[in-house]
Amino acid sequence: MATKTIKVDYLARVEGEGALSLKIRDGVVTDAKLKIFEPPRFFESFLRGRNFAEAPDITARICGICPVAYQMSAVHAMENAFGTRITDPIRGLRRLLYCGEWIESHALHVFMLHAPDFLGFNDAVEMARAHGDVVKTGLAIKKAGNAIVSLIGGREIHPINVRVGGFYKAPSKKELRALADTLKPVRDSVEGALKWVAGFPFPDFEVDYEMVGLRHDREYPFNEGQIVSTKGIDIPPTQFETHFIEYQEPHSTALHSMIKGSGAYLVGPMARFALNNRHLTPMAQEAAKGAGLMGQCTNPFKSILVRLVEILFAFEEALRLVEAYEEPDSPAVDVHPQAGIGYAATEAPRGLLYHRYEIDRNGDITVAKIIPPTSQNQKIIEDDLKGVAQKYVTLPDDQLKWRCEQSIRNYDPCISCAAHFLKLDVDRHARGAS
Amino acid sequence: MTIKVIGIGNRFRRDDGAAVVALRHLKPRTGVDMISTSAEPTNLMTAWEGAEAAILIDAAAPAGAPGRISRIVAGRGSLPTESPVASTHAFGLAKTIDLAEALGDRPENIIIYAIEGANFDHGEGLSLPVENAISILVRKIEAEIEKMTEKVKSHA
Repeated sequence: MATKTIKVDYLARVEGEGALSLKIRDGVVTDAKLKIFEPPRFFESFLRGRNFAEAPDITARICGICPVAYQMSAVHAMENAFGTRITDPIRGLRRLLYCGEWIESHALHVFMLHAPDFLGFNDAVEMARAHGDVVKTGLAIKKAGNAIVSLIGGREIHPINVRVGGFYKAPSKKELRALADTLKPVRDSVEGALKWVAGFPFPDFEVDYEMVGLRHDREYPFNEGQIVSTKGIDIPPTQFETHFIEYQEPHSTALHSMIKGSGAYLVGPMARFALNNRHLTPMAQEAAKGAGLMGQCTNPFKSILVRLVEILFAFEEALRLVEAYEEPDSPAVDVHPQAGIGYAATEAPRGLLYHRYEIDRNGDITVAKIIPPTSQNQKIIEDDLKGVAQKYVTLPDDQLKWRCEQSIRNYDPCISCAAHFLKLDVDRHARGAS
Repeated sequence: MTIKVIGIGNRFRRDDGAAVVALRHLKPRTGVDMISTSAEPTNLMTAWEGAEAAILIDAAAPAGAPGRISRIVAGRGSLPTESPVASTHAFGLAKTIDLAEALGDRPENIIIYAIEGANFDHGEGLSLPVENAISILVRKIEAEIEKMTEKVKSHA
């Protein structure tokens, strides 16, 4: 029997470093592993002994793409431990900051990393030569997200204005009105981009996922809500660890996650959309329908459409929040640290981000637990890979490789967050061959 | 002709802030904008918007000669770029110039001055070799601006 091994050193356009290996025996995919080999960064360990107030700035450093998410889960967990209640303007500013990060992160992934896959380009630079207007739209969207995060967070990467209890400085109404003027024309370009992407050739690949995310009774979730699943889980963030477990796999420096007694699950835009699409704005709902997204999207290749719907929603939500904004009396409420345990889950662009902290009577952190979305999605990415590789197993190796890389990018994995990307190794070693 | 001198770096990461320090020492001139920014692609492309010539100053990774100054002419397609498979975490200067060129948005002339750093730790203040090289860097950039301005005058 013929023996064939395909080896690719690095899987492209994901955040961080890892590898993928496929084992194919006599035309059957027997194993698919997403190998994450970036060294662990020990954030949970070096948070121990640090003061509670340092957690938002330290955890922001876990990721340059989604620092706001880390800051938000950290501040909410601390406030949960201390019984701190924030004011409505502060709550609004936090949602606005999160809108900025979703816009930045999703725009980067949609236009720079994922769209080239569907059109046969190696990267955004190649795509820009053929579709310059679209790439310019993508950059304008990203820039609008940067503008929000800069104004509310102090700078567009690793914001410095977030603190437990609120912010160091609240923006003026005038500043927010000026921001709204820059957002409106860009928002109007998102629908056009969504229509363009909806015309991509999507592989026919549907999966019966258990999707997990936050659900809020009045709004599309960023910072608050119950943790729910499409198959019946409905728990507060305090109970996350009683329903979900992390476990070690030898091929990954990032822990995997599963639902106790069940198995792999999916977090991220598709989960949020499935669980909360009734809370999208009418414009975002219409745009989703126009792109063929109804109720639940179970084709991971179409996650790019869901991200664009979420970008549109984030623009609209940002404009609503700006309109409703009243300057707070104080940019932060008083915080009274006490010994206790704080839990929080917020919706990072890539999905549910869980934090738990144990705090001593001096306000110092004794235990920190951080479960990022990419590590939660690792198992489901491997399951997808196995399915995709099997579906396309007869393709020539270079095309199979392309399809497998694309199916990983469906998840916009941030390996840097999870531990920290990708070498692809296809082993077609036939059974019995040497 | 609009010339933009763009300093890239973070002054709170020691030698990474060399460009920001150099910008402070350049004398203001009519028709020359001085801008400090990060290497984030949209920021960089916004910074050189409308410029016919851009001088980019950036700190370079340590390679055994801290303070060494390199002048690089960014011709079309001439810079060594990262692999086409790079992630956005590694969307560097060369890639940003490539992207701008593909979009028809790059200044005609781009000159890069790279100053080799030694210390990129947290905090303000440059390492001694880099600090000592700043005055040389500033003189080279002043001369570059003069040359660009003279070229325009001779064509006028």
